[in-house]
Amino acid sequence: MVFGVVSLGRLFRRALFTLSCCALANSVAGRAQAQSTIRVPGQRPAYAFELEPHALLTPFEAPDNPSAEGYGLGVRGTVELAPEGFIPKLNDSVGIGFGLDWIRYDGQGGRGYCLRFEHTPQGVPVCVETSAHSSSYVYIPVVMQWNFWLHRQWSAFGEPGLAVFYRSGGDFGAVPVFNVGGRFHFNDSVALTLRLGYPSFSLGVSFLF
Amino acid sequence: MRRALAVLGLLLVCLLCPIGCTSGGNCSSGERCDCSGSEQCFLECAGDQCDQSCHNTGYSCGTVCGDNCSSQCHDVGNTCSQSCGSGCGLECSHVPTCGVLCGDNCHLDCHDAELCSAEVGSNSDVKCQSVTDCQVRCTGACDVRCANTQNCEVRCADGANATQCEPGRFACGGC
Repeated sequence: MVFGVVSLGRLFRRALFTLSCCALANSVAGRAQAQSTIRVPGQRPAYAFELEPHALLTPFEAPDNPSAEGYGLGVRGTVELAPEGFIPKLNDSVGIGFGLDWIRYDGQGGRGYCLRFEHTPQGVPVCVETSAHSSSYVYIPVVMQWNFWLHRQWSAFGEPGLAVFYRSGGDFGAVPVFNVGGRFHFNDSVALTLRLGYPSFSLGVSFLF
Repeated sequence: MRRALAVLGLLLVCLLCPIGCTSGGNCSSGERCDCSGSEQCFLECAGDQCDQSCHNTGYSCGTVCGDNCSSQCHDVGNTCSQSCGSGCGLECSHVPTCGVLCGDNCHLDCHDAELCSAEVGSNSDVKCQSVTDCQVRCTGACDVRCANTQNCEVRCADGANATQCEPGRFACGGC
């Protein structure tokens, strides 16, 4: 990552976004304290599979590529593996999640990786098009999802894992994944899900089957 | 729980502050931009007349530009790549391989390299100095000068060897 001057507008937008997320998380905590279910194991929606289409936003640079913010779409599927979770006295559960996320990153500073080479008559590759203006990445994350069922309408989770990515131009790579998130449950089958972390933030709707 | 979330929020604010920062210009049309220090970097001008510098990368470094640009590429582990439109001034040095594609009225200075491989347009001039192998293809009239170069091979648009005007100087389209 390259450091230097960042515009005030961009910094303001990031700060606003971050504070909004914190306020939302704080609100979750406040409500959860009122009618907590975290110490009542099993008191939560019964489901075996969670399907969550989502919109993505990331303030992070693309892996190995100087870039500005990114946005995109994706879907996450999570299979419940341990309904009782790791902590017997806590209302937690553990699943494994698989995803498919597409993110388009804006260019930054005219820098990037090479998208297309042409060759000199002697076969030396010369870059003629770069990702300096934009680049697209497809991520396939695999994560462990550790859920905490805080309240009848609220749950939170942590998701460590790994994502393999493919980027426009033909390269592959892998990045670590770490997210924390929360759900607002409209009912036992549908929830609004917010996820914060790396490589991207997401906002989506979870369908519990 | 509230305290934990507050700490998490603070961590996120700290984490987000340096993200997306950059340095060395933004490669907008007519501006200077610079890239160095990583394994590879490619600069692309958003238009014409950029002044680009790519240097000190581990493996490759490259510049892409429209017309009337200047580009320097040097001190790279493997390959300098420079592509440009017409009216460009390019310099490639202190690198094993220079690869250059540029249009008409190109001025290329290639020195202190093992291989300088270039294709240049009409009315271009190329200088190879302290290069092991200088290979130039001209798609129109051109003037190529080689000094302290083991092999200097210049071909014209029809594939024929260029005319040797004097020792170390070759031309397509007449001396």
